[in-house]
Amino acid sequence: MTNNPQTAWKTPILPPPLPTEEDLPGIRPPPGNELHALAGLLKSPAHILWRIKEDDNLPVLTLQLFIWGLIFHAIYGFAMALFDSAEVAAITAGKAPLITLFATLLCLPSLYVFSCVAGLPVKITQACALAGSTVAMTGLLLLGMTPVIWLFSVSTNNLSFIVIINLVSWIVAVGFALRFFGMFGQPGINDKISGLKWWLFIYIMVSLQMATTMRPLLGKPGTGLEPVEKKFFLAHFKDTLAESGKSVSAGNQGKRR
Amino acid sequence: MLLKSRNLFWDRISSKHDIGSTVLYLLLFITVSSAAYGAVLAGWRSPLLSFYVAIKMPILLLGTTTLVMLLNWIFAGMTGSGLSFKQVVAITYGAMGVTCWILLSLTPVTALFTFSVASGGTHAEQQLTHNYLLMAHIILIAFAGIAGNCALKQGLDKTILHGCSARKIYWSWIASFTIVGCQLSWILRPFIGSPFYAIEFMRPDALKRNFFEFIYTDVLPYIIKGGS
Repeated sequence: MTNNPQTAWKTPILPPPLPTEEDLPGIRPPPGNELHALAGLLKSPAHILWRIKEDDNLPVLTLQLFIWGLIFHAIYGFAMALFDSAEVAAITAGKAPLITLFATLLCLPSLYVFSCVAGLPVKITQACALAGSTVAMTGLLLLGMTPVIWLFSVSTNNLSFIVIINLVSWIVAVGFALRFFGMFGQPGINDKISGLKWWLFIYIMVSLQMATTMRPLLGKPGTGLEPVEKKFFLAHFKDTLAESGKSVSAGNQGKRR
Repeated sequence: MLLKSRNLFWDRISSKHDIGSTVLYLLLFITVSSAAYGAVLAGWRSPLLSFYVAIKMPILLLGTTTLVMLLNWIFAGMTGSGLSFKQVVAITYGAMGVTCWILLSLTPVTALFTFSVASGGTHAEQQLTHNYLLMAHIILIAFAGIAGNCALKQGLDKTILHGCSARKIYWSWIASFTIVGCQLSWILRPFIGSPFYAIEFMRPDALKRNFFEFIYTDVLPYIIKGGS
């Protein structure tokens, strides 16, 4: 009937069909499949994002993400600090998750405000879950890099090299969190993530300063947990590299970061 | 509303609904949030300077916006925007409100930087700390300012009459904000607190020179000579 030009006008013009769940793979979870937060992050990060967007039991999800993320940071911290000794590794295993936790707590208000200002209005619970996802995603990547870092930590005496390789590893891991945020751009969710990208930059700066405040991470603290000299992280980074240059020339005297 | 439903906020301004109370609320919010940021900004130097800057930051932000308000309204009128004076006031303070939301949210972050850097040491060390803090705050405040400017452009797009160029109004407003803001910040210095000067509310020479003269006579020759 529609092929006849004289009757074609009678055929109603219908809008294209709405996309089905199959058209948007990975955004909606399979029915009845409650993935554990960690498995979700690894196998289907879009699922986690969907849960955050739908405000689906977020306190539990946030707690799971934070706990696992911090455990992974502790493991990475342990491997990293084997550069000095097992004793220092044990101390750093405790410090690394604390650095991440404090940095995240300080950055939580800015995550909430940046998201809203960028046009992605979120609730406080959703902001907490996003922060938890960042910590867990970073931790997961760091866990993957732990064997590599362990190998370098136990086989080199060059402090500068260890500082740089750890810094690069950590920034790469946080970069993956940026890709995770980028999934907001998928159809059906939201593409206003510029605020989250800026937030990640602030998070990196705060984490570096927090690590400087809680140093040393690669050497023995003086007499325990006494306050260390106050310093800006860039100044500390510069001093560490300079000190390392001297210690390399004078043997292995200056293993402190 | 400004944070989560900004379109609703602009609609309210556009329809001239309840502008008076909106502006009062914005004034209160800008004062409190900028005072909080100001207190942290100068915290590394001394509690006294921290107190001074907590007073000076709201004066700087509100002073800049208030001093240019009349000029901005005239600019808006000349381009045929159809904006009333009340609407100009609400749009300007609305944009400043967005900036202050970001500054307020960054206060814990700046507190970490402020209280984890040294306030003592040799002059060279103090100068280094001052410069690092200065750089960090310039980046953060610039970021907050850019977000405020984006909100300003968005507000103009939503409230002016069709056919009028929002771009012209926007750039003329930015120019007036920049000129007045730079000079007012020069008058109200110190903010971070150079370690080489005494702690005071305003410098004795606050009204003797101006910001642009300082750039022309001190900063540009320094840069041209390569920092020597």
